[in-house]
Amino acid sequence: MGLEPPVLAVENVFKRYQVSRGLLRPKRSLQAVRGVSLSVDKQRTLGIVGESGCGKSTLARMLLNLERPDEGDILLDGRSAGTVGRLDFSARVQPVFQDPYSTLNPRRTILETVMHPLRVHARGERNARETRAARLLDLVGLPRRAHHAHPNQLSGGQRQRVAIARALVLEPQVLICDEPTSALDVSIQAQILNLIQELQKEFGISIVFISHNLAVVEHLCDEVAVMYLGRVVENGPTADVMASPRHPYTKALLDSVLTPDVGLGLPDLQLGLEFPDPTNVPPGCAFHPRCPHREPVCSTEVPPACAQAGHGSECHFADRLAGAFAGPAAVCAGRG
Amino acid sequence: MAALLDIRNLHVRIPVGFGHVHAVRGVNLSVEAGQTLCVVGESGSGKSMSALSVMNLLPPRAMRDADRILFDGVDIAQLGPRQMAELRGNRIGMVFQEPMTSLNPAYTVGNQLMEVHRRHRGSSRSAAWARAAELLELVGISNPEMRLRQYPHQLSGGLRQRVMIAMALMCEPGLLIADEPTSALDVTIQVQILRLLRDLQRRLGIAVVLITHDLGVVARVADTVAIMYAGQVVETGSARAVFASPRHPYTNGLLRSMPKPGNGRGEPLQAIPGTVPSLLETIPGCAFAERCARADEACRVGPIATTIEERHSFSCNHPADIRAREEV
Repeated sequence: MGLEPPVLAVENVFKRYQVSRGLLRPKRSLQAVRGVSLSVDKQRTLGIVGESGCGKSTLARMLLNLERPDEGDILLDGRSAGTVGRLDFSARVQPVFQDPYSTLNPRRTILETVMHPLRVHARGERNARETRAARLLDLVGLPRRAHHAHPNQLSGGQRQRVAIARALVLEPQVLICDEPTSALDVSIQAQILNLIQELQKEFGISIVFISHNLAVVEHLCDEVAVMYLGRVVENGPTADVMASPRHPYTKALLDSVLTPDVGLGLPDLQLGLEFPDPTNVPPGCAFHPRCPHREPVCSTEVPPACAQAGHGSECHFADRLAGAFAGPAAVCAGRG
Repeated sequence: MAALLDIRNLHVRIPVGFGHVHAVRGVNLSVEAGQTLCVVGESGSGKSMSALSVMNLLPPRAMRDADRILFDGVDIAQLGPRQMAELRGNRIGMVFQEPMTSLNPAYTVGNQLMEVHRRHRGSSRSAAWARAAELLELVGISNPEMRLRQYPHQLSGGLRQRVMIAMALMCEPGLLIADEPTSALDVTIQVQILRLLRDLQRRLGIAVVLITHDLGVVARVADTVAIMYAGQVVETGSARAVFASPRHPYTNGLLRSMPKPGNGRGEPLQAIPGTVPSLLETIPGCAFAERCARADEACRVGPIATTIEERHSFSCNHPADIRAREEV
């Protein structure tokens, strides 16, 4: 860290969609992202955690410049994404998506798939491209005999390896991983997580890792941002956030991590039955209908936003709750 | 106590091309009334096929073969389609992973809930409606009368899964089979649904077979566990015994490959190398041998020793020592 600008930064970004409710009814506005600021430094990993509908995948699309924000800006090396140019941007920021079954072209061989970005970006001669693609496939641990296979001949884990090789073949600065392991089996998930970590060291890249699994994020990320209904409700160094959460939603997410400890039973999250609906964001603090610690002020006033640096929480009672969550009685069962 | 469901030596073969996939290779499972059995395994381990066998809902050309599938003393492997239809949804309820694909989008929630009761109990519309409203309330859905008039797409994922559970419980079954009921849900919703299942089980005294790949879930809800790999149960026993001292290298590997909260960053996870073997070919010895650090030549050829202890049994020639997990 220091004087260098972050490799990739999001500044006060908003994104709305219009959702149809049928032929004759007026469209409704869906507030996917409501004023998010985040940044990831060189060779660091930023985790973004949240449940469906919290805007994390919309944010990923904006980070990849696939979608322009309605307000705010995405900065790559301090320059606005709008001025960087699509081709240049895509060479420097590459995605790994969740579903390795739908992101590979079924008619291309594995080697062709990994060579394709080089061709689009006119890098090198055909031979050089092939050598480079083969080297990447070696690095991700795919056997040589698979190079001329088609995706349907590979397992889910192998496909995700191909997707990672394809993302890295252009030597990007940033990798955006949107739930890269949630479609994989447990034993394979660990292989892919280890691979991502190794390759980060090897290539010196920055990673934005989007997940709903806090245990995975804790394992992989330097910083973490917890999102709820389009806002970052808590952010900070991963270890701090995990050890002493300052937002009741983060606390609930942490409690939801089920460790394989017999006898601990199931935690009582006390979240009630309300369900977050991004087309109908509650006034005040968006989390208040589910919050076990809510007070009258929570339904009327929006809590102050997270600070950009350090460990921040978007909660009226962050300090009080931090104390309560850190108390011995509240220590997340089965940790340590 | 006699088991409510007792499966002995179940085989499932699915024809493909010239051969067949031997998806389930001699599985024994049993669950007692009021207990929870968790069947754990990765994709292709045969866990879903085993469950579908009980319901006789296997894919069209699949062949099922078992010494017996006893449900409440009756061998349901011998029952005809009509008798099976009488059991399904009536005495055995089932909840699937994807609530969106298992609910009919063209009918209201109420219609679909009522159908079960009207069909199996021959109840009147008003009685079935009242029962449906009662069940929605039981699974923690507020304003049930309004929900009954809604269509599946108007509900969130968590609500749909509650509706599925309500539907499975409409006729007070003795056994509930839940195939990955929470895998498609958000983590906080998962905990709520699991709590709901546990509360209902205690209140109604039903037996639950929960199929999952998540050992965290298993540890928190199971009475007994069966770990499946490549169509076989490799380790089974009381949850306490299996988690306190996993003996099969695959169980140990699964536990080690989970990221543990509180451990922080850095250390690579202990992944299990390799991939699951193809079940198109016969596997002579131990199916896990190719990925196992303890395997020797005898493991690849077979036969594999099965150790049966009081509350714990496993099939492995080189099982881990007791309480090996604490050394890790």
